Amino acid sequence: MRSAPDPSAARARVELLLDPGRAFAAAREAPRGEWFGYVLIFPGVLLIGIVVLYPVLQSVLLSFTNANLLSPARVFIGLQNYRQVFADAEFSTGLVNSATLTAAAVVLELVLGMGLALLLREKVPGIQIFRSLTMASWVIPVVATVMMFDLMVLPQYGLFNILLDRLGLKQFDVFWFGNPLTAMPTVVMMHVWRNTPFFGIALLSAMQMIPQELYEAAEIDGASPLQTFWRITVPGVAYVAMIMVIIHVLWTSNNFDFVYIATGGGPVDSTLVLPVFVYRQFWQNFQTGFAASSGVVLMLALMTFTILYVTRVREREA
Amino acid sequence: MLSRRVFLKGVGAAAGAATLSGAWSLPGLKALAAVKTEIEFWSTPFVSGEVPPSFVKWFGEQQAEDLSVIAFTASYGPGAYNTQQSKFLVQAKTGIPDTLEGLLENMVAYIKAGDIAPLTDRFNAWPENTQFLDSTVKGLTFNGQLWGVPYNTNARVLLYRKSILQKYGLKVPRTWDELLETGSAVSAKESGMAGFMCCTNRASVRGPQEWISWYFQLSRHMFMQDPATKKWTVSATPAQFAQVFELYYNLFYGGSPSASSTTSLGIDYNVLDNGYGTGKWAMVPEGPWMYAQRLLGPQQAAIINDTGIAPLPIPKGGGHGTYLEIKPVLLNKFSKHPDAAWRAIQYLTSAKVMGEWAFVSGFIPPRKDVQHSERFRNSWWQKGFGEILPDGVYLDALNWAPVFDAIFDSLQTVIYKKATPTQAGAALHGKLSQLASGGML
Repeated sequence: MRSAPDPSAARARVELLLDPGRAFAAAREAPRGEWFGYVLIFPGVLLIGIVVLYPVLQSVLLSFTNANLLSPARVFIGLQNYRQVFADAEFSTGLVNSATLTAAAVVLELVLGMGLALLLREKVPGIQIFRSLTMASWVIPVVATVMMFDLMVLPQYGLFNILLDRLGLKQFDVFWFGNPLTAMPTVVMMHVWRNTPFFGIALLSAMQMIPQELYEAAEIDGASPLQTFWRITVPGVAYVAMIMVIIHVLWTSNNFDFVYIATGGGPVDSTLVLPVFVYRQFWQNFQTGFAASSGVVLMLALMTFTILYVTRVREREA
Repeated sequence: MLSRRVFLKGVGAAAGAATLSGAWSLPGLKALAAVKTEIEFWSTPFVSGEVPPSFVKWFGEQQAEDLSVIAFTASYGPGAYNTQQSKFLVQAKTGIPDTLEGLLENMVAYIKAGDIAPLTDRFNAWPENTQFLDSTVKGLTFNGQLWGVPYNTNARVLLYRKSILQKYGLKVPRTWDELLETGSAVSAKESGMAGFMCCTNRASVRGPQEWISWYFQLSRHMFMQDPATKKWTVSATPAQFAQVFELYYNLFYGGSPSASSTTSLGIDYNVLDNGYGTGKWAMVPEGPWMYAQRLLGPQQAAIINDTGIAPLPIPKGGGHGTYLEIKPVLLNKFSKHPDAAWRAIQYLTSAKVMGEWAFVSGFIPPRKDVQHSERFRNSWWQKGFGEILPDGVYLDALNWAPVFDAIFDSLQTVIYKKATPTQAGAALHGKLSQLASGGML
């Protein structure tokens, strides 16, 4: 008989991945046989290090220059780009919009993903097929997703507007991507539609690792379903939820294609997010150095968030 | 069953017989034996579907038959001009692609980056150079050098539904005021149809191209260059910009109902084109690519047949002027086979290839011999656009990307009522002056 997976062991492995210092310490203290495992992963770690570190270093170096894509001349200008970035009104708009989009999308994905996971956990006929189908939105290419939404939000003949018309809400029949009030919520909706199933499946797998005995004990003690959910399910999935939140905060903050294809950052900058801002500086204004400094600021903001969030979650768990 | 020994004997005998009979001299087999220089040509329309796949197939077959020393690879690069520009700016120095087509705006960026080769000497030595329209060659000449060979030219015009205007006794608008009146009348009378529509999506290059068409009716230049320092300054006035913004404002908010529906604000060129093809708007500022709509279905074919072509309406005190698009084929300065690449450019801009390409896509061929050929003379579509071509104004040789960006930023403030046309005109003038003084152009 297969033994139940040990959640604490899986968690320890994830923690090692998140903390290279501890990983190296663990490797030093590892018994002889385990060294072979570290040797096996070394090329992969080295490759990722080169692929990730080299571009990051290049961006940081570029950000201190006046580099321009159309001109080979490049001069070191110190912090001038950074001063310009923080004085730029469009950058501020991009920062606020990025934070709004990320917060709204990730919170909704987490809440709806939890609901989906609870639904998928039910043992009803056909649930396996339903579990497979839920990932459909994840595998559809981003361009196709945007085109699909673009068609659905068209005035008069888009699906959403037809439904609004039927409900007697004809006054809201507008092109949702073309209206400053509805453009950002529609972008959030696309993110949620695409990513919620991923949250759902990840949280479901975490739920399946919670020992059944805990639920049985809670039932014997007379705990209500809500108490069971808050006291057993939520703590049981908290760690996976944290990982998912970090991943999706990074993905959503860095996401370019959804916004650029759907709205280009408009109308009147209502969906201008930082990756689109960086793109405009790089590919439209060809200001490579300035674009790099904007990218570095975004990277630092995300690193700060990740460190603070992980520390806070660990403190709460401790 | 055939044994391996018998099979090999048969192959040997056949090869021997072929050698003795001289079959290796057959053209097909000879072509197989010859080594052709492979040329990579990037063409956005080949990939984006702007030209029918049947033409791309035709091109592949024809070039294999027609060209003895070069062969085009079957890879035609990215399917969008902005992606093509990004990729080319990054990888041109690898020598790939050898040639590419693009927009005039892209070409200026490539010249500034030093990624394309001047073609003046090669073009002057080509006996067919007299066939190309002077205006298109002039449009691709900067600082005394020719940088591309034109293969496509077109102008923005007013496309309108003849039956709709006729149904309500309306005339084709000739002035901005008439455009607003006619558009408003159609919006009021024809259910589910806006009188006029244009592209207002932030990411769509079509928007600024349309905007500048209206601007060219007020002035043929927006910037002027100091011949000595080569620095650009803004020659347009805030009042001229404000006048164009006023037109947009009135299109969306003037009249009751307005000529253009605010519910469709923010649409991109796909929605604009398909909206006209499916009867959502009665008038649009468009180019000749709309001819391809007829291939999408019977409804679109009927609407294209019901379409009239007219110059864009003009303002009081203005003159005819419209954005003239000239698409060139360019030679990568770092191509490892520049002579073969030049041969490829000659083939792409030959009467045969240009003629077929223009005919299926609907654009105006910039070669006189193609324009004078029977099928173009008899085409009402090409004829309609050809008559308006002299109104076309080509863009000055500067970096238009940040200019278009600034235009669109200001335009959005007007159409979303965040600024008055006067405020937007002043803001745009300020932004462009800043770009010019900062050496960004």
